[in-house]
Amino acid sequence: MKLKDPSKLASFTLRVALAVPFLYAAIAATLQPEAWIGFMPQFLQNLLPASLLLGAHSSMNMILALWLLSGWKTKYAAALSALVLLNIIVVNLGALDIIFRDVGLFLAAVSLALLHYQK
Amino acid sequence: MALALLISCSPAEQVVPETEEPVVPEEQTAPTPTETEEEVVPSSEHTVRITSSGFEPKTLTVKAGDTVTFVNEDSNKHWPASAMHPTHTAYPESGGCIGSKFDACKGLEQGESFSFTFNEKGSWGYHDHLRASSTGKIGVD
Repeated sequence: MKLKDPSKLASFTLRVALAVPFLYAAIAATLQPEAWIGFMPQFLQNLLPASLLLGAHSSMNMILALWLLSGWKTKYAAALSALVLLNIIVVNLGALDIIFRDVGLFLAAVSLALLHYQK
Repeated sequence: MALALLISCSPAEQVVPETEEPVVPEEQTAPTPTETEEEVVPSSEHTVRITSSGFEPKTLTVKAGDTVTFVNEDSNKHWPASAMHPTHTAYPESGGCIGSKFDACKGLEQGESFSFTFNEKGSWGYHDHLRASSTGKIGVD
């Protein structure tokens, strides 16, 4: 079996691969906020209430997930996803046991952005 | 003569079994203020300070049954708990509020402390539940 345009399937797979964890994070942070506040940088926790921080974080994750799934201006959605993931990695480097998967997601987002770079 | 020999031997024979009895460790541990033994034999009470830069010391080795007290010296709240974040299931004693008995179950205010007795041997990672990148390790021999 030969695919007519493998890049389309690759793009769809990457978009779903990135959207699922963003959706999961958005829902889980809403249902179990105490488990997610620990990923927020301390200076932000000092500036804003935890509920507001997590609410904003969940909303952003939800928007990113839906944007990725929509397929609209994918290169921008992928680039923003990559930035968000890179931020998570840098801020939580001490918790590498937990966030090592985000490195793979970050590179997947970069790949998706590159795939759509000239479109 | 023979009786005298017996009598003279008997105190020595009494000493030997006494040293083999379980009483001896007490005798050995009680008068051991030498420098080398102080390093080898740890206290049963240990303290881990929590400051703005994390846990101090980050790694600590204790004996099974020893108690470690985590004292928050920072103005921010800190919540020591077993790895991994956020499930806290690494330390095998069940209980607590999430996944293990080794869990403060709340953010400690400045000056507050949480004490935990480590009964399970092994190397137990822990973290600050309110700052997941702040971690430490307790070795239990």
